[in-house]
Amino acid sequence: MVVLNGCAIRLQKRAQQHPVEYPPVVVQEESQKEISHQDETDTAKKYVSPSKQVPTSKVVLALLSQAEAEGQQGHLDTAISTIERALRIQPRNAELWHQLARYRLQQGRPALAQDLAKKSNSLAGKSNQLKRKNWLLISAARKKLGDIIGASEARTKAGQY
Amino acid sequence: MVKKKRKVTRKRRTVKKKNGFFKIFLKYLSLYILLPGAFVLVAYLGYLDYTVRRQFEGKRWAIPARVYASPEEFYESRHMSLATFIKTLQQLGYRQDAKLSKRASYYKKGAHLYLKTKGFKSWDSEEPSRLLRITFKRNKIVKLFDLESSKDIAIFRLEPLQIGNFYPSRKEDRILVKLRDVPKRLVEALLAIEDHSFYQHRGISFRAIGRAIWANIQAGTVVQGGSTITQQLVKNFYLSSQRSFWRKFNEACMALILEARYNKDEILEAYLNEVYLGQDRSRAIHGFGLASEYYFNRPLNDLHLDEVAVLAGLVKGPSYYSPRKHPKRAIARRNLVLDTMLDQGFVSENQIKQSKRRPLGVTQYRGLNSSRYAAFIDLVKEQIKHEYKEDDLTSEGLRIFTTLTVGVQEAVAENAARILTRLEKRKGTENLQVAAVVIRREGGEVVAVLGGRNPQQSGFNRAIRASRAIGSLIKPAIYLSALEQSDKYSLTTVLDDSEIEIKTKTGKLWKPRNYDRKAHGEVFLHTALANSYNLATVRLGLDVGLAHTAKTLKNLGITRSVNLYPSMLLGAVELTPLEVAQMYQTIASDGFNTAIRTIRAVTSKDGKSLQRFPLTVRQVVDPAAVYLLNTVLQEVVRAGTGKSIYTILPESLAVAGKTGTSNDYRDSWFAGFSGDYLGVFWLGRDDNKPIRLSGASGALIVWANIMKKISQLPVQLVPPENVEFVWIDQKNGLKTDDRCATAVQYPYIKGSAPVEISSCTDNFLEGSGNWFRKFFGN
Repeated sequence: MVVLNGCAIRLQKRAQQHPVEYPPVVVQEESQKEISHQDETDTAKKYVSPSKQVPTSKVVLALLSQAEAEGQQGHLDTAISTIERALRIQPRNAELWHQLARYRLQQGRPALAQDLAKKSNSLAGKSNQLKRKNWLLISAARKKLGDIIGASEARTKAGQY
Repeated sequence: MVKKKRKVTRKRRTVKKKNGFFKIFLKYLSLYILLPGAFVLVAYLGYLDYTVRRQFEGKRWAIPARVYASPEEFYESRHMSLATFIKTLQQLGYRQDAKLSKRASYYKKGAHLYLKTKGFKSWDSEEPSRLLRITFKRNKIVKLFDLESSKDIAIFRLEPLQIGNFYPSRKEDRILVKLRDVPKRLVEALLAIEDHSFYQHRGISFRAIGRAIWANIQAGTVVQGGSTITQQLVKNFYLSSQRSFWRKFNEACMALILEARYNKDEILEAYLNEVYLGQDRSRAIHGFGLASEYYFNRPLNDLHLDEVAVLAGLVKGPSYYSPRKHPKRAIARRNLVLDTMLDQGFVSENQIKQSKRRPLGVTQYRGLNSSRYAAFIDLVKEQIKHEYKEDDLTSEGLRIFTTLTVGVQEAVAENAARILTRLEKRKGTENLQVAAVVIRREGGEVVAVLGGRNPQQSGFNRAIRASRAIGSLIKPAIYLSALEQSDKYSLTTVLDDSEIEIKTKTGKLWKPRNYDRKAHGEVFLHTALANSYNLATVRLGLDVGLAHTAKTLKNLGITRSVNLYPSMLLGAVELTPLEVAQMYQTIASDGFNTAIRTIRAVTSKDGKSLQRFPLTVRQVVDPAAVYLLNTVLQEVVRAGTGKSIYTILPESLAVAGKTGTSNDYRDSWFAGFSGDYLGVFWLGRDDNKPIRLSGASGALIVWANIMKKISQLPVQLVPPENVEFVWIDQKNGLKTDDRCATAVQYPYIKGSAPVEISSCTDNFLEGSGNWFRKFFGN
C-alpha cells in the first residue's frame, strides 16, 4: 500500500514538474495573425479541430480562374505554374493541391496525381465534398496505373463522403 | 669612222653586260626573295582569312548563363510597407520620375505608389509593362489599380532580380541584339561619330586616316583615330590590345578580308554586339544590348535619342566617358555626338536642341552583386550541373529562374550576423560560424541559403558542405519510428528515463547521460521528446531498433548511409544543414517528401522553355504518426527545451521545432517550421572547438529572430481521419473525461488510446490501483 502510494505521489509530482499543455493551441482560420487566447484558468484543455480547410483568399481565387482558363486552352504546364504561384501564397489550401492533382492526371502522370490528391486530403479537414473529389481522382489514377482493386477501393471510399 | 664603230660596239657590250647583271639581280630577287615572300604573304593572308571566317561564322560569343531570383508577387492584403516596396523597386533599378515617362519608373504620392513596370518574359508567361497605382495602408497593400484599363487587378509580378552569372574564363557579358531590332538612331549615331563612310569604304578608309593624321597634327596630340568600324571590330574580336605596327598591319589586312567576305550589315551587327562599353567590377560589358540595361535599365529599343547618343559616345573611351564616374564628360560627349549627327543630316536642329537639354538619365549603379548570393548560387550549380555541361552553362546564355526570395535571404544574412556578434559578447566565445537553409514549408523551394556569417566572403559553403554531428535533431526519427507502431507506442506510453549502460561492438561500455545530468524516471513518451531526455530516448531507440530508425531516416530523405551504432540514437551522425532541411521538410509537410530544389525553370537565351522543375510530392510516412510527432514538436517550443522561443515570437505562430546540441557543445542546432517557412540553423566553430552554446541558447535564438521577420502564417496541424482525441488523466495516463481536473485531451491513432479508466473523481486507492496495473500489468 505504502509502496503504491509512494509511486503515485512520485508520478503526480512529475506531472506537476512538467506541466504538459495539451492539446496544442489552435487558431481560428479567419483571423490568422490574431491570437485565440486560451483561458488560463481552464485546466481541462479541450482540443478544437479546424472545422474546414483554409478558405481561399481573393487573390488565390483569381489565380485559380486564370489556371482554369489556361488549362482549358490546353496549356497544362502554364496552368500548373499558376497553381504553384497560388500555393506560394496559401500553401495549405487543399483545393489548390486538388487542382494540381487534376492537371497532373490530365498530363498522364497518375502516380504523381495520386500523391497530390492524398496531400489535398490531408489538408481537407472536414471538407467532405473535396475529399470525395480527391478519392474519385485517386480511383481514376489507380485505374491508369493498372491497379483495378485499388481503384475500386478508392471509389468505395469516395462514396463514404 | 672605224673609231666610232668600235665605240658603239664597246658601249653595246657594256650595256649588254649591265643588262645582264640586272637581269641576274632580278632573277635572284624574285627567286629567293620576292617569290617566297609573296608565297609567305599569301599564306599568311590565307591564315588571316581562315581566322576571320572561323571566328565570324562559328559560335562567336560565349554568353554566360544568367541566374534570376524568384519574381516578387504583389497582391491585395500582402503585408508590406510602402518604404520596403520602394526599396524593392530601387534594387531593380527603377528611377523616380513623376511623369512616368519611361518604363521602370515610379513616384510616391501619399499612401499611393505610381508605377510603370518594366515587364518581362518568364518561362511560363509574358508579363506586360503596366501602369499601376498601388495603395498601402497600415503596412499592407490594400488596392492595385491598373491606370490604363481603369480596373482593379488582383496580382502582378515584378521582373526577377538577376543575382548572378555563370562565367566562362573570360569574364565578358552581353545581351545579343539583331541589327533589325536595333534603333536606327543608334546606327546613325555610330556612323556619325565613328565612321561616316562606313557604307562606302572597303574596310580601311584612307580618307579617315588622312583626316585623323591632319587633326592630330593640328592638335599636337592624338585626338582622332582613323579606324573604321570594321577595324574596330577586328581589334576587339580578334586581337589583343597591343599597340604595335605589326598589330596595325594585321588589323588592316583582316579588315579588308572581313569586308571582302561579309556584307556591311553582318559586320555592323557583329560590331554592335562586340564593342566594349564599360566595366562592372570584374564583369566586362560588351555590346549595346547589355550596355542599355547596364546604364539605363531598359532594353535598347526603348531608348530615346539622347540616351542612344550617350552610348554611341562611349565607344571611344568607356572609362573616360563613363556616365556614372564622369557625368560632365559624358554629357559633353553626348552633345558632340548629337552635333555630329546634325552635321551629317541624320537629325534636325529641333530634335537635338531638345535632346541636349535632357539630363544624362543613367540609373544609379547597382552592380551585379553576386557575392551576396554566392552560397545560394553554389547550390544552384550543384543542382544544375547534372543537367547541363559546364560548357553550356558558361556559353549558351541560358536563363535560370530560381526560387531565391531576396527579402528572406537578406533578413537571414543581416540578422544572423547581428545575433552572432551578440552571442559572442555574451558568452565570451570567439570565431563563431553559422550556416542556414530556409525553405518553404510546403513545396521544398529554397528561399535562402547562408554559407557563413560573412556572405560576401565567398569561401566554404557550410550550408551544403559542412557535415556536423546533429545531436538531438535525430530524435524525431526515432520517435516517429515508434509512433508508426501504434499497437506499441502512443504519446502517453511511459518510458524509463533512468541510467543505462550499453556494451558496444568493440566491447567498450557506453554510458549516456542527460543534459541536466539527472535521471527522470518514468515519463510520458511526449515528455521525453519535448525535453530531449537522452536516457529514455536510447531505451526507446534500442527497442525500436537501429535499423528501423535508419530506415525512417531514409524515408525522410536522408540518402547518406548511417553507421548503426547505439550512439546514432543521440545523433552521432554527421549531416549538412541542407540534409537536415530535407529530413525536416518531410516532417513539416505531414509525411509528404519533396526533393529540396532551387530551380523552377531554365530557358534558352531567347526565352524558349528548356526545362521545368515543377512541384512534386511523395507520401513516405504514415501521416497520423507524423501528426502526433508534430504536436510534440510544438510542445518542444511551448514547454520543452525550446521554450524560450516565445520570448521572441508571438505564441499565435504555434511553431514546431527541435533543438540539437552535440557532444561537448560543439554544435548548436535548431530545425523548425512555422506555417510558411522551415529553417535549419547551425552554429559552431570551423575548428570544432566547443562553443558553450546549446541548440536552445544558440541556433534557436537566430532562428526565432529571423522567423519573426519573415513568417506570416501560423502552424495549423490538421489531424488525419484515423486520429481521435481522448481525455487522459495526466496523473496516471489513464482514460477519463472532462470532469477530471487534471485531464487533458491527447491525440491517438485509433485503437491505441488507453482503455482503462482513471477514477479521477473516485477515491484515491482505486485510482492508484489502476495505475499499478498499467505499470506492472502491461
